[in-house]
Amino acid sequence: MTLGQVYYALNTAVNQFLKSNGITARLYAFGINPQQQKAKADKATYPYFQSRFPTNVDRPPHTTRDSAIITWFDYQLDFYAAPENSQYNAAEMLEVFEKVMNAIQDTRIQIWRDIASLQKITGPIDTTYEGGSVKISLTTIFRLAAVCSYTLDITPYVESSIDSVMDVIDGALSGEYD
Amino acid sequence: MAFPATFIRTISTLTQGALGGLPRSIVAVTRETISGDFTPDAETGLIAITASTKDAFIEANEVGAPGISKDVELAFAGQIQPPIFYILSTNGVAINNTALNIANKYPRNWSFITLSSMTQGVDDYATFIADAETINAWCTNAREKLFLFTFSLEADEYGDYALPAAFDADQPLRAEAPNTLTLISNRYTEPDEYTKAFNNPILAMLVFILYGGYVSRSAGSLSDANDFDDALADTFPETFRATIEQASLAQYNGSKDAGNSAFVFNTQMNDKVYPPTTVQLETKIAQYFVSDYIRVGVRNDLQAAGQPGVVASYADLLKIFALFVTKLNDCWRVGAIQTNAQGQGDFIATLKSEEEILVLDPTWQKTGILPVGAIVAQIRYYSALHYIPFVLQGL
Repeated sequence: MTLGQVYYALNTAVNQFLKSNGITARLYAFGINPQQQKAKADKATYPYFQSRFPTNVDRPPHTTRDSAIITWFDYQLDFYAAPENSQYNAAEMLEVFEKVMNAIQDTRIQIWRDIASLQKITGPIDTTYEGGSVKISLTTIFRLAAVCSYTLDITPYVESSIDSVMDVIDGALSGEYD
Repeated sequence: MAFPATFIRTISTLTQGALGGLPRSIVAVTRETISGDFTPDAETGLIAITASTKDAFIEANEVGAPGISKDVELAFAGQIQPPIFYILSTNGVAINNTALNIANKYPRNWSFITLSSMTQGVDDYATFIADAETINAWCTNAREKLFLFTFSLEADEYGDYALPAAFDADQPLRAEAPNTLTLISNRYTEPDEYTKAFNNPILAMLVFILYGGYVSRSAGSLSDANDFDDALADTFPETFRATIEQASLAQYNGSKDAGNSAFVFNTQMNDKVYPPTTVQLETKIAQYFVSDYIRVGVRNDLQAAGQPGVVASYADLLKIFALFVTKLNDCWRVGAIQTNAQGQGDFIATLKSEEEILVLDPTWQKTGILPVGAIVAQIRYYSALHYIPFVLQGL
């Protein structure tokens, strides 16, 4: 798997856990602004999670298509707990956060066990900010290690001549290959 | 997008319609010196004769080059005539590979080669067979040329016939002749009381099947290609006809036809064994036609699409494969490939999987050299329905 595929697999594992435990909160991938989704079904309700694409990556310098390299990277999970202008019970909402953390950390569950191994957890860091109203958010950074490949399974752009095409055609017509 | 320098030498060869790609012309090799206003082409050494120039050619050469004159007359004798007929004259010396290679400068200009002389091996046995063996050896599978010639015999003083040693099973004209078809004949015409002009029925047959309007046409079926103008059926006794058949050579007579129409039969390529294991002439023609058509067709299609090359990728191999199958179907529609039980073209073409192709060459995507064998095909080419005894029993 490439790093991008690992990232989405991590997200999927969290969402599967939330769903199977009847929790309505969801984890959104980076690049989505949950509050600006037009369709009502897609519009996120608090609380929700959002992850960031790994940036702090120990990327290997040279790889081939066959390389599978243990790679350390930081996976950042933000937990938005406080809806704007609404009443909330912090304890109740943080329970969702705790459940997810347990699912990641608890050695009996370890929802990421097949994807990456957990090295270190930093946080949660209180990243609550105020902008007209108070939003409570917690940021947790997971140091993970996963076996990643860095060369996609795409072909390099090398030209083949018509002569080479003709050799293949001739080979087929000769009936000498099977 | 940078292309390697080799792309520059790729030039477009247009096909004229679906069938016009390969001009299936005939070259007649002769030792006779050609007179008159017929100079060989400076590049190929070939003299081109057409229906409009054949009379002038015969007039200028029937005395000095009577052998080739009679064959030019024969080639244009019937209703079906070649659009062009090439002559390769060696001016009295033996034909050699150099002359043949020069004549083959544009390999797609002609596909068939025949040997012409006044007596077709009767009075000129040594030179005739020597030339035949040279051409036979030159006609390799890679060149995709077919060599057809009539070898004539005369009876000895007891009226018996015997095949000469050159047609023994271990001789090259039979042992190593995958592209050669020899017809044994004994008929001649007499322009005057001292001269015998031996017939060349295989040339008449070739003209008929090549220019008869179909890509694939039976040379020896009961309804086709019989009673050629200017070519007489042989008068061999039954025993010698059996001898010719046992030698896997062709003959032209009416012995296989209830109506006694003469036709050419046993048109499998020369073989050292009997029954021959070689393919029929018609199958060979179809095979070479298909090969040429597909090569030219795929090349033209790629170039018409503005692709002087392809990307060394599986996706582009799929494109080539699709073109290949399309062309195979074209050939099936014109009858050059047989029809299978499902009513489709009788061929199996396979593009190997990516993993299988990597086994052929792990680096092909880096080098750009597509692995030969990435596409494999089994094709059943046209084969003519020939004289088969049990078919007649059912009638």
